[in-house]
Amino acid sequence: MDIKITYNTLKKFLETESGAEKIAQIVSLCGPTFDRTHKIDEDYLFEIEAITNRVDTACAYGVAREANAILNQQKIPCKLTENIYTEKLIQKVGKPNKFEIEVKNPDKILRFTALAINNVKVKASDKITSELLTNIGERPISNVVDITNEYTHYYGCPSHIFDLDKIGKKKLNLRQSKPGETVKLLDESLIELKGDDIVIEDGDGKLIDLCGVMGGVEAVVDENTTNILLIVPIYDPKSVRRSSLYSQKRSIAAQIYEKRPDIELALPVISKIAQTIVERAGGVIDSEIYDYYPHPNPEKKVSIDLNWLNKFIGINLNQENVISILSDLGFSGNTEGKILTCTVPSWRYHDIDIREDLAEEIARVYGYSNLPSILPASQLPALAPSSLLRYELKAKKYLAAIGFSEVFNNSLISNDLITKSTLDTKSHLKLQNSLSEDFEFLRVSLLPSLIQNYKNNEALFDKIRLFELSNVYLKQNSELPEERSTLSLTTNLTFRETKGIVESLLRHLNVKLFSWKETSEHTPCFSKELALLVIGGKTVGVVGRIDPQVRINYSLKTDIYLSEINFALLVDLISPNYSYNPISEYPSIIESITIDSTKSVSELTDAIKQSDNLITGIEYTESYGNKHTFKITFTSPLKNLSQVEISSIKSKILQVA
Amino acid sequence: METIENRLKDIRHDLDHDLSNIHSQEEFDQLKIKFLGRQGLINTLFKTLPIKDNPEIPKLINILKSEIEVKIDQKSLSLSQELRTTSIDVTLPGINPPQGSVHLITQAIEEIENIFARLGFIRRRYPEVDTDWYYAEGLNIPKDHPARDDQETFYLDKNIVLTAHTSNGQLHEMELMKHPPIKMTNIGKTYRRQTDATHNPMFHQFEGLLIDKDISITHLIGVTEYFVKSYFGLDREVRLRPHHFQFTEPSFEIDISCDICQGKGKINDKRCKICKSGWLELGGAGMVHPNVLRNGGIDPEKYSGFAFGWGVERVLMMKSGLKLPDLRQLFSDDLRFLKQF
Ligand SMILES: [Zn+2]
Repeated sequence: MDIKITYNTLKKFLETESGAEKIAQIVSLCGPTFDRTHKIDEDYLFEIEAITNRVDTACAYGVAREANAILNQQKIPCKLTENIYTEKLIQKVGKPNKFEIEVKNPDKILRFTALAINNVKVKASDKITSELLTNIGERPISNVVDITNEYTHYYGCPSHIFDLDKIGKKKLNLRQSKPGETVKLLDESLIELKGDDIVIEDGDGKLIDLCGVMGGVEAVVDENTTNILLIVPIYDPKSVRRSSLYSQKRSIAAQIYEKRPDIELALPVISKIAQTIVERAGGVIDSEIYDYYPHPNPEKKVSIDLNWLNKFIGINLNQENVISILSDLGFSGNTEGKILTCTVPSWRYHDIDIREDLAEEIARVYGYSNLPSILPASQLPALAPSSLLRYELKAKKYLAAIGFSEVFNNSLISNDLITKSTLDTKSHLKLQNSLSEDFEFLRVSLLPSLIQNYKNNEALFDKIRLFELSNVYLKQNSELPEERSTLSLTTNLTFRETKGIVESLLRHLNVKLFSWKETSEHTPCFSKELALLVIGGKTVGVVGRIDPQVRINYSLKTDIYLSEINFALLVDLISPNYSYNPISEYPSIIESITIDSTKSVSELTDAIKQSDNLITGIEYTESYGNKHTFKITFTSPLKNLSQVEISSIKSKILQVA
Repeated sequence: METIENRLKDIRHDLDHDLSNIHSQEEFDQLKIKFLGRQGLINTLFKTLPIKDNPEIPKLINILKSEIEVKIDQKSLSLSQELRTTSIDVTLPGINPPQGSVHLITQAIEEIENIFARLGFIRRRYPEVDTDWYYAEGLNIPKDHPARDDQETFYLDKNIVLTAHTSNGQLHEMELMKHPPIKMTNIGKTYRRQTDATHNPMFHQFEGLLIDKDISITHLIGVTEYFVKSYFGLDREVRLRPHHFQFTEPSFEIDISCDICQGKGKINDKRCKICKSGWLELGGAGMVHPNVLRNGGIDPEKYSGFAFGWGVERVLMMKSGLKLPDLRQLFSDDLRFLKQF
């Protein structure tokens, strides 16, 4: 929560000689962050970020309390000048006689204080108050209303004023709203309630307050108002947050209530406001203070062992110093040996629960910048990293080295892209709350985006080589999808060149045994001109020409070639060890052989390989019709091969046709 | 005899002619083979002339052979002179192999991984799509906590999210390792339901987690400083500010000094546009909350630890001085962009 306070307001609560800039700099490192400091006229304006669990610092008094503890620790003279909790109340607590209050939803009303004041004079605020409100970004309205805003700014405890004469039968019914009820707020907006909001209905059945969010226009204070009802309530935080979010009224009050302000502030704050109203607008306090407070918070204690504390922070702290820090922050308590037992102050009731919370208080006020920087000397964890991550990087670097550029696409894609690439939308996981149609489905293939990437570059370059190596998200029987590391390529090279790229990558990754298989099954995105990559009997990927329909859908100017590989599976099949074949001392003999056969080249290659173990290399050269030429290497580890031996192997080779 | 001498003369003539036409090493090598090779002209003479009948013939051939050798040697010398002085235009551009590129994000991830690896942190990969337990509830964010309705998380259903942070890796790692020491980095894709100049719905985070005996705040400072100085440079400073996260206690916001204004917050008396008063936000960190340790099966009485989760794109943009006007440009597929790195 971002708040603005002025240096002069801060000094209202904090006696110090320190300048604005210095305070901002020091306090930021130990407490609330002063994002910016602006010079204004005779004053400074601080923009301060109050952390969500520290609503007690979302006001001038809270910032002063923090600053006091922090500056004290730095030996900078300062003093907190006020303790609102111990001030004498302007009226005693008792029964209201001018109004009636009924709480029908006790679990949502944590506390409700009220007080009536008669014969006030409503007019514009004086210059000082108007300027203060303007400086902190609020609009001055009238003297009495401005006082409530001013005190919210001071103490972080919201309050509200009704025109008592506009409250039918002078009765407040606090209750839960019903769905469909409407309330017109102070900003003239009409809210249709969803039900279960905290509201106040007057004795005539009109809603006069959307509690904790904004008052209703029905009982608004205007220039004719003379009798007012001042309330300082504390509401259920979740309930206020819900109402505020769906009605889109993110008022300061709502932002404070949803973060659980100090329940003990209600009485002193109503007293202070009443006093100020009388001072500035005249009037007579006409009732005792009504105080509905069914369940006061029990005292809360948290203990901390100083030995543990020193280990946790990493240095040895002086015990007196620890105690003085805690006491400046409002903690009281006692010490038994090394154990401190601390009573949590009411304004920290909801954020201090365990010793680690106390450790934070001590360490931050001591100053994080006073802690040394130490590298931990712990042992290596017992489990090695997965090889997948290593191989992913190796593959990426290799592909980049042979001319491919890596693309990062969004894991979330559109239905349009899925349809264009002829994939099935139903096989995709769909977001429940997508941001736009562009990011709606978790992709099951990298190709829809990668073909689009190709398309976007088509007009700019002659040779295009793109790849992406990322997860795809596949539905499976368990709760979570399979996140599978996948590699895809698009190129406008030839089929054989594209395939060659995959083959060279495989060799680079130490995959020596792989084969290619034809298939009659349709693979989305691919035409019939495709080959399946098979390793160890498993289909690992596919290389092929783009499906003509997909090419049309993407309006590509030429055919392109695609490959998609299950990279996770591929890595499982990589042999982690290198194998070594001794190099023969005897020269190899290389001969060209042409085979006339209707078999596929890959079948022929396999058959040749198996025909004799003196064949140590087969290199395909070319084909004319059914005539396929191979360059074959013959090597013996034991001797020079004779022409006779070669001829006999050659005749075996010719039989494979 | 006359015909023999004529043949020798022809060869001499032939040689002179050939020698004068040689301008490259290849032509020279071929010439050598032509005259002196195994099937060359000299050997052919030995094979074809009746050398056994007339002992003068081999003499004559040998004289010719040594003549040829001398001339060839001379040519070799002059040729090397010639080759040294004749030249191509060496300023012509080289012929390059095709050049690709590893994406900037991959480069950043590698660098980050390596920095932490030097401290013994092991990189893992944990789910990007995860259950509410690992993503929130197990991290001490109860079902009805206000942090839940920030509207920034993508849901697949009410229990399955696209993770908006990498901290879900913390509980996974504790379950995997069972016992400290735990030292891991989890680098992965994360998702947030927003898109503007500084946000892409998908981005990358790196999570660090260290749990062991006697791990303290000073260690968190040590590791953070090591990362910052390794990644950004030795001149950069680190500071911690108090913050709040549900899954760490205490929690910190970590800032590093701004390189543009050298941490002064001002350039020539004008406010630095890049930073807040000389500091840039790196991201959040903290000591692992005892509830989170317990949820991961680790006894907070015996062990303590720290964790942090920072943005890959964020540190990349902060470091490189890339001056990208829009973070989303990192996800551009334009080869004119990609090939620059
Ligand atoms: Zn700067």
